Amino acid sequence: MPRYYFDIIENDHRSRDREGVDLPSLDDARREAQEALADMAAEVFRRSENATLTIEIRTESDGASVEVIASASIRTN
Amino acid sequence: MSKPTEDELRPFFATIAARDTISDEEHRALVSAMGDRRVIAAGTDIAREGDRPLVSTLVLTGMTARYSTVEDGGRQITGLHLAGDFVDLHSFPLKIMDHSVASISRCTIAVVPHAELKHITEQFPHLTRVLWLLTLLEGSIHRQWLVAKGRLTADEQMAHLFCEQYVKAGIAGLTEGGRFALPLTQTQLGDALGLSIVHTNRTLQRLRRTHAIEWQDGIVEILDWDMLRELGQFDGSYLHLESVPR
Repeated sequence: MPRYYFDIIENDHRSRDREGVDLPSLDDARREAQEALADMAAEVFRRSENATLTIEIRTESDGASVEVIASASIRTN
Repeated sequence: MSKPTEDELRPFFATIAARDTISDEEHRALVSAMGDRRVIAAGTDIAREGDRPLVSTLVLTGMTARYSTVEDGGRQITGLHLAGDFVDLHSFPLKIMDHSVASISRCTIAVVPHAELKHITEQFPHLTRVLWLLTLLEGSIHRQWLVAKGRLTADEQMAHLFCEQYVKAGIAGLTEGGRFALPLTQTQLGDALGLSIVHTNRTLQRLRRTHAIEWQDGIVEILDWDMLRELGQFDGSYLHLESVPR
């Protein structure tokens, strides 16, 4: 199974995934990213008034992202 | 086929001794209630939802999980059991399993016929209360998981679970200098926390970065217990570690 790396970008801060997750296909990786974004948005948006959250998928640990799966943002006032 | 040895039953008696003192006669009654020991491979269902088991299962070595599945195939682990834990003592009065139990790792288990448990309830009132206590502890752990899932962040919830597993392993005499076995995969950890794989992976990376724990090849090492406990807002009073007459 190929390994996918999921970088989480919260506002301007990128947490690089150095471990990755083995998944059957890019489709599965997309689904996982979508689910993770929903999970994490609940936490991030609860504690911040202004935030953006994005997940990028890479197929190599030091490669460029192959897909920006999801992005969500919240802004009050 | 053989009965479990006293040595294999040590974690079980340790979990009781942490909460109460039982007499030699009660000890012997529990030993003689044990049926055959069995070795089962990882990933084997021990009991399935809808089953009507005639035995309860005691873990002698390894780890098992209680789980339920939902329509889209998602799985929620609702309990983790290690050596010394009864995985389905409640199946004696409940009769029908409302969830499944599977082995996480290779396990040795002992089956205890419900007829033997019935005999204990009829002959040993204090021992009956001790067994009742063990099922109540399951309930208090479930409550704590619910609070953690409902009100803690993923980071806190994960730290809380590591704290709980460490304390439970310690009670059963399964820790060695801050190290204990936690043979879960990341997916199974996510199933226990109710988190997606990616979120679990990220949360674990963040927890490792605090240097409170290390977790490799199924072995957890507690590096900074105070920090881990604080991260997880862990208060072990729900594990009822007080040896008093029940």
